[in-house]
Amino acid sequence: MMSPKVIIVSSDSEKFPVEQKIAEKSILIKNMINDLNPDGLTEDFEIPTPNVRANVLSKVLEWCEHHKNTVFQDDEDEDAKKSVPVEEWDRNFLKVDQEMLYEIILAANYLNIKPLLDSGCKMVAEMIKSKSPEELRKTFNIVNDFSPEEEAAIRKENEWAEDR
Amino acid sequence: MNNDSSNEFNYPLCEEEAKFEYKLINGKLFNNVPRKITSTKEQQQTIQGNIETRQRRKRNIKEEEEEEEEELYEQESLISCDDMTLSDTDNQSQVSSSAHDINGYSQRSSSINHPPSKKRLTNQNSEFIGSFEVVDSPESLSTSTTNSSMSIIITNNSNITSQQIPNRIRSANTMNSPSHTPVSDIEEDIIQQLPLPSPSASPVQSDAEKEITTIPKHISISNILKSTPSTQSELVNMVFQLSKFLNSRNQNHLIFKLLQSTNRSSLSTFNGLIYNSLKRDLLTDLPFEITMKILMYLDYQTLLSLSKVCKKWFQIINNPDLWIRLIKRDSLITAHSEIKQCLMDPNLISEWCTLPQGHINTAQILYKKRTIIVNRWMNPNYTPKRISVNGHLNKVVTCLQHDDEKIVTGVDDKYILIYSTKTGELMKVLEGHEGGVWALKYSGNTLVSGSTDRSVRIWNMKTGKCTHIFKGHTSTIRCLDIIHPAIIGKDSNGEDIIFPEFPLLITGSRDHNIHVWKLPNVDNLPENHEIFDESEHNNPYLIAILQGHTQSVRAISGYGNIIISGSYDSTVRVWDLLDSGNCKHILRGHQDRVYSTALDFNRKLCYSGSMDSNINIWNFETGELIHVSEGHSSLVGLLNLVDDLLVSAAADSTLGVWNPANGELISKLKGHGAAITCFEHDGLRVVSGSEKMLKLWDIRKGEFARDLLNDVTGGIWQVRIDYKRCVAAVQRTRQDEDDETYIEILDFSEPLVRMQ
Repeated sequence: MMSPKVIIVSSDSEKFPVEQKIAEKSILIKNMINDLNPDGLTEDFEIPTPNVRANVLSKVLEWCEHHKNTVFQDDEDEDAKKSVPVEEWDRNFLKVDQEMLYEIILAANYLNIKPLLDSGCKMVAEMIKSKSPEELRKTFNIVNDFSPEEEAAIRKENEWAEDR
Repeated sequence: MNNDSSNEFNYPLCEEEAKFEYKLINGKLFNNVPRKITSTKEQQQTIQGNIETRQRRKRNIKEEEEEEEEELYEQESLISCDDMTLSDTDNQSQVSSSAHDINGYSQRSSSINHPPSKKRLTNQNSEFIGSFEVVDSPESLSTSTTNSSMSIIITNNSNITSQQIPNRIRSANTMNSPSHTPVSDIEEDIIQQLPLPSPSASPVQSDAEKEITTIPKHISISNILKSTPSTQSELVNMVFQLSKFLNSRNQNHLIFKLLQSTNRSSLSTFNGLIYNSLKRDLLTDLPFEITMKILMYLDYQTLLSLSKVCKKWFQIINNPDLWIRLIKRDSLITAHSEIKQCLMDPNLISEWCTLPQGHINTAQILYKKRTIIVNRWMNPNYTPKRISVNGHLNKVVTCLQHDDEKIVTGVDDKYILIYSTKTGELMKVLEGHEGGVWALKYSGNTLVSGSTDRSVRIWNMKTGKCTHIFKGHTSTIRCLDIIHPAIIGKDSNGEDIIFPEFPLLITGSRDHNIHVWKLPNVDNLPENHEIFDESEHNNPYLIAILQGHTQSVRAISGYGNIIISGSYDSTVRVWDLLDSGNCKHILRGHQDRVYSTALDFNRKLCYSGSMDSNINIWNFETGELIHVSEGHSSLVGLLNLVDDLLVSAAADSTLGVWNPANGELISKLKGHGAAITCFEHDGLRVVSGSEKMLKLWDIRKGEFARDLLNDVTGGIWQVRIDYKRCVAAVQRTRQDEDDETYIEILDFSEPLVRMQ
């Protein structure tokens, strides 16, 4: 007999039947399954994710499937985590347009998939790292709304951090 | 949108007329009056063939109007499609919302269950395909004129697999004939000379597209079609206006078809356009906690760069919580209570911030101040303010402790001297010991000292008077520690257990014993208090005598209920004050005298450095020897555990930086020319002294930073540091005269902004 599936339903009513193990990469879903099925799953179990649309959900589930057997460190140690760069597969996986990256981060946050959230945040951090303010404006489509005087004052205040 | 980024959007379709259209749509072009339109295969052919046949197409639309099934018109999606192509003329928020709406659209149009494993599409492709699938219908299958690449798409429309996607993408390109006019020519050429991209090459339309849309009261399709366009520009306008009569699903379908019939180079341009349109102000748009998380991955230089981007980002960075976290992350200050205290400093802003009060939060300025000071330490070209004080004659300074106000030194000639930290002035001389002072520590105004005269003395540093003399040891007091009340665990009700109740003094002696005393608080003594000087048997302050070592006790560390002692008998002993001071474990493993100890109460680990050149790591709960850190080649005389880093100094003239959890060597600091005589570290800096050298090391880099004093001619007796000062007792040799001991005070904290 096939083991029962978890059917995750996107905000746009698309259904994604996945293995329980994959679905449980999301702590939110894992807790829901455990709370509502204290004796384990006996039949397919449908879970709506009203905040995640199908395109994003399918992407997130692709990540969950890839990391089906990955054991993530339960890192209480914030310092240790910081130094770890984004894993190669995750890096390629997250090479998407900013809109998709945005939605993946929100979905990972909502579904409580911490390693994916970490990777997403690190990718954004990498997009920001060692860029000048002008490059940052370009990267994120932002208008410089400082007056020249304000800009000069801030530059002076931050002078100490430059050329190091 | 600023000028720089708009350059990237420079594309012929996005010019002024397009802008006008955009306004029209947002304004009054649509107002939800339901009408029906349709477009058929026949119409497409008429467009392709001959402009004049438009009239016929118009007729067709009218005839079929009534037959179509209803579907709500999705005005928002329509607008969003325009936004996308017009993003260069639009502002940021509209671009963002457009991206949202397109996505929103594709959600609604998608009806097929995709197992995630089969989805290997890029986001953009899958959206277009999603919309495409729905509009295909069986009717299109029967169309014999459809080219082969299209039929692949259509026949597979209900079961897309990853392998078929490349076909589809390729089909979009292969449909272009070389004669297709580049879009950029549209403005100049008149219509007859221009072959438009062939609609027949597009996917075949079907019944599924026949839907009711809302059409404005005062503008109808027939109105639009009344005039015959005479230029490419007018034709584009007309087609564009007509496209407004499509519902959003079919509008996406139309865009998809147009893209399919676009050549590679134009697709590439569109690709860039779309990519840029999907840009987002991620830091502003993401929830605050996630933004904080992202920022915590960045260094301070990047963060300050962010604050120059725009006002919103300036405010995101101008967040005290962020900078408090960064102060801890970067080990500038680790204790929360100390951060709080530093934030209260009334001079912080005026001395370290160039902007007026209120512009930047104090935590950010505290970070700035501390980082500037660390950078000054590490910069060999920075000269700190220096005060040199002589007056010790040629005596050995055996111990030294300091704070912002005072420097306390113990000397081997029985005096304790107190200097002003700010001026170097000698403030007090504490007289009373009859032999050299070899151990000293203070807490508040209470100073304790141990001497070769076998006595422990308690002093009030404010008055400079000795308040208590504790007797009992039968030989030199060589080491001491103060144990403050601390949380040592939780009881069965979850309440904190605090131990000891009051501060304790522990003293280790050459008589092999350790005495545990209640530490008097000199501030609570009456004015007329007479010096307490009783024999051991009448001393109510004596709590316990810990006996067991068989030789001199050389090093001692205490926390909570645990005391760790290292002895010349080569053992380390663990004593439990909750168990009436019984010896809990005798830690055997060293081959020679133990000279230094350190204790990590929370990890249940303790450390010992020995003449056998090893550092042993023990579990003081189980008594187990966890690890032997080998790396020094002679006596490990000094150990210092601060902020999760264990640093050792040895007679082999090197220092080791170790991971206290596992004893792994993180870095070895080499450069001294003789045995290390003293050192201190604070998680960022190590300052170490040896004959003629006082060196600073950068712990984070694990390397030598600079020499702090270049004119030392003798030994360095003691060195202590805080975040802004280095205080050292150094020996200067002088020709034809006796050597002299100096106190050197180096101050790195000169304010950035000079007070007016």
